[in-house]
Amino acid sequence: MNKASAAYASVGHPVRRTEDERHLHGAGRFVADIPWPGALHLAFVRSTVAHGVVRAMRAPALAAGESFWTAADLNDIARPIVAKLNRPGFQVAAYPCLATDRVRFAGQTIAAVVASSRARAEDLAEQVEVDIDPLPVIASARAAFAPGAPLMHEGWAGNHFMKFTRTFGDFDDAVARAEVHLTRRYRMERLAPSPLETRGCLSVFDRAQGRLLFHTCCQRPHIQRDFLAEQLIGIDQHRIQVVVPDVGGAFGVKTNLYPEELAVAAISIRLGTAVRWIEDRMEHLLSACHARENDETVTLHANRDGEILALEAEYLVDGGAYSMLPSTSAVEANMSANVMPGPYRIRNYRATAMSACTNKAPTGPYRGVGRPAACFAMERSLDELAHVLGIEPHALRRRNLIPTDAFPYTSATGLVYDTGNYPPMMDTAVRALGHAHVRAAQQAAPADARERIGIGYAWYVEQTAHTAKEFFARGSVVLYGFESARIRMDIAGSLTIETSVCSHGQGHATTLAQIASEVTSIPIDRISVRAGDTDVVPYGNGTFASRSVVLAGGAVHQACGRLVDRLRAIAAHLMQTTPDELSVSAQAVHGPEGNAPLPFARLAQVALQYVHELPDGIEPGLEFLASYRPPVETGAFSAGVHAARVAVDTETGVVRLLDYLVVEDCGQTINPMIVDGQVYGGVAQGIGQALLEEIRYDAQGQPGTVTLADYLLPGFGEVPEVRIEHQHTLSPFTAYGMKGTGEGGCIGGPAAIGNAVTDALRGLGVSVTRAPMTARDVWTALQAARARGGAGGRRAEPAYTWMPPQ
Amino acid sequence: MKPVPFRYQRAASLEEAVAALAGAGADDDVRVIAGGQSLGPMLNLRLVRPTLLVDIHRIEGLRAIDVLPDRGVRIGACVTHAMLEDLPSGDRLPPGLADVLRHVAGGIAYRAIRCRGTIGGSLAHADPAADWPSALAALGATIELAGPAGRRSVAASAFCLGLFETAIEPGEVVAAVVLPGSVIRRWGHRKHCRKVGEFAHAMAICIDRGGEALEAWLGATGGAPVAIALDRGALAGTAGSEAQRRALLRERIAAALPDSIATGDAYARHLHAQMAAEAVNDILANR
Repeated sequence: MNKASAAYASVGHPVRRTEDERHLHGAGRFVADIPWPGALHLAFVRSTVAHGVVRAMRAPALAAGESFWTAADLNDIARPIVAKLNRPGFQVAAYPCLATDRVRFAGQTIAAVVASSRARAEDLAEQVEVDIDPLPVIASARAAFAPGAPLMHEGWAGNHFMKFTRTFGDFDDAVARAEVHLTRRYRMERLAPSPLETRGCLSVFDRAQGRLLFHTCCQRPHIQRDFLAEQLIGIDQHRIQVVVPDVGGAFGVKTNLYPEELAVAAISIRLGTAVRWIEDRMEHLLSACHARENDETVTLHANRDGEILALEAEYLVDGGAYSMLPSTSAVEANMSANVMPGPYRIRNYRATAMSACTNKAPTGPYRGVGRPAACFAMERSLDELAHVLGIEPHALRRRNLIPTDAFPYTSATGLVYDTGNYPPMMDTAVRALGHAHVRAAQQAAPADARERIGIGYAWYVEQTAHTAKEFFARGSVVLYGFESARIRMDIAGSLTIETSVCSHGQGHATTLAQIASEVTSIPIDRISVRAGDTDVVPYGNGTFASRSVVLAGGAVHQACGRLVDRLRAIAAHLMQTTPDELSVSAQAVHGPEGNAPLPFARLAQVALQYVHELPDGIEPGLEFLASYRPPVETGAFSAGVHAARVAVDTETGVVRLLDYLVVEDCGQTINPMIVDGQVYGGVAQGIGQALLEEIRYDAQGQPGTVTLADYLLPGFGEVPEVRIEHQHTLSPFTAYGMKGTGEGGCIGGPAAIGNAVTDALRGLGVSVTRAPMTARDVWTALQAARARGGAGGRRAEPAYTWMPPQ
Repeated sequence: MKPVPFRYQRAASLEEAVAALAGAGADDDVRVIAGGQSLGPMLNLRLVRPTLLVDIHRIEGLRAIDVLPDRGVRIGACVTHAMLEDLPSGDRLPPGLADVLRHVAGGIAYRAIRCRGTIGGSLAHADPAADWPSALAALGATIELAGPAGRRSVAASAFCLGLFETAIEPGEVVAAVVLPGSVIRRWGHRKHCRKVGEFAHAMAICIDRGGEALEAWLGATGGAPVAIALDRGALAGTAGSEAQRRALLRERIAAALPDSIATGDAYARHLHAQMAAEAVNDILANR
């Protein structure tokens, strides 16, 4: 691989994001901003009941140019969405774009209205009368598995998308050897990923060309195009163009193909015109992909010295009514089961994962997928074990961390950790948080202090940039094997990168340009990055699973290397020398003494215009396509420790974050400022799920959180200044040794804060078992502890912030 | 999330606004809009479905803050929370009053909302969780209403009648809030929100003007603000120990709680009592 001389260094520098200027000036363009004169607006009629059969519908009074659509109108153009995993026993739930007869959650799309404005479409939608015969409602995972529960989908064998138990290592033997057995139950509530920009699309059918132009805010333009072509009857991939403009956050929620999007595409084809649907926040909270709702039972089998011999865990996830395409509603439980051992050397493990089907909105991937809940249960359990054994929580962790000399390390579940150096990260966290100082302050605090201080830690590892074989092993139908980049040098010597990944805020236009700049010596202000248009960019899988910098970055690295090779070859010819006599820097090729350097613009002129000067055997043109498939497909493993110091007001139950520290290691950073941004944003989401966020349904499956007044997202008041400590353990498998880091920030929050709150309230007999740990939960548990133990009484069992149903 | 269709009239003066209200048809559901920070979302959620919206926020005369001869202050209905948050310090207002106004205004929602939301709009909307109804009752304010029959004043303590219910008669619009100029010696204001900027779940304010009676009010009760019967003697009581004082305060607060809270959820009840105790303690601690 050819690389420019070190004279121009770009990788590793906190370069300002080239995207920010347009956003700061309000000049970004999102789906709702795309001007399209004459585009019609669509509004959906949604089910108001959680479970029932649609008996009759009455159409609204339509004016000219308005239309009303039900399932019967779209049956011959749009197939129901079928998401599945190639795993034994996986059960498929067909998800129609408009309900055919049965509705299975409040908010499900039943009909659509198209009119000249969104307001008019909403007027018409509320005129639609729908008669639904209600059916019994299943409003929890436990209810789904209760004896005699009605079946959610015809032909199913029980109300589960998937369930399995797997045992790794000498589990029974290890359990028999263990001296201590500790069982705890934890629950992470259902969340709404809540990107700033909701879902939305503008679908334009061009009758003359027979082509569908589908503008959407998604994470994976080509995959979305493939899905649309599979779902729509009579229009193939080559006649569909997916265009993704600026995207205002996605967090996994925009990896799915939704019934709404399919309906908009189908209706625009039928009408032969442009139809726009911009989701409102209520629709988003009702029907976009929910996540988590993971109810976990964990048993640690350990020795008295803190060594964990075996781990047993059951994950019971309320997956909602249907499976999201393509990750399915089993993604949360399966991921939790797969990653639970985390950074610890735990060889003996038994996991049971159950994904229930209920009358709630479907669930799917949300930043962290399965890991925040696994981390919450695992790390809370470790603190409980440490307490029982009388060991400091950080010492217990250190006792069990995978030693640095054990890498590459294959986990109990078969994940291959490329590199890691965990023990020093624990030391850094303990030092930077001021652990000893806090312990002294706790000792010195008066026994009746209203405010209690506590500290907590949480570890995670983050599998990033894994590819086809890994997804195959998980049973994924779509295998995301590579990313690609096409680079073009123009006659002035500036660069255009076309990439298959699709930023929804990650700053690809900056980081990919930095990599290109590092390889070519071209400054980043002379490099454009284009993405999000299937007619322009090369095929690839898009942005998700913390993969873009490694895979798209790898592709840019390769393609730029080929460009530099070509430029050197041309220069060697012009200078009458050999390429190995040449060096590249400052946008020029430099030859042996006595030769004037040849600027890239001159070489580009030869390659693109004055091709008569080209030597034999060198093709004209300066376009290079690289499709990067990493040398190992199991991914590059980042890791992190979150550490929180909290104050709990025992009179109100309010938890205040006094300090939040992240020690992270994602190998070589391309742009450390962007990495910090990923951490800050993720931590904010982690704090949200730790303290505030919770989608609620009542026993009839009626949603209780349909506006942001009910569903509380963290704001500036709730997010403290986050301190970040970096460590750089390079991956041997990636360009520059980089690793992905998109999700780690949001994994550790509930666990670290839960541990800190429990630490603060240890003396008062309260233990955090639920995320969010609301002020009400904390206060209620404090009252229960007080009632049980009396003032200063000794309690065998603490009061929990959540009691598992019996 | 778009409102139902409605007619829209922008009033250039208070008289025009009153005339617009008077001119509405018998079948009209008329709403007055000022900053629109509560009404806007309710329109978009179609929780309110007016046929006519009368917009008063451009009426220049309603955006004035005037110091009165008694050193009280008259605040126009369309004065924003931000304008009150930013009240300049100085000697124009009596000691304490500007502090209370700045503090209460500055704690409302977020700055972006405070820049548009108005004191008159907040009162007229009468969301029980809003900040001004209890604060203005405790401050002894009067509310000036303009209507077809001219102007009248209503004591703030009698203005809010319940959930979204006020003393405003059909055809009337809030014109101003008038605050008395007597010196505030000490004050306390506490509220509990699950996050910054959220509507409060419990709120209390206590005002001490140096007399025997203390003005103490609970807000966010789910209905109208509620007065707590408190007097200095009882609290600062000569023979009272700290524990007795606390017990008395708890008793007075408990007596003030409306039935819906007193018999309701334990945490909510506790929060109301806690906020009230803290607001009163702010006065006592501040001696």
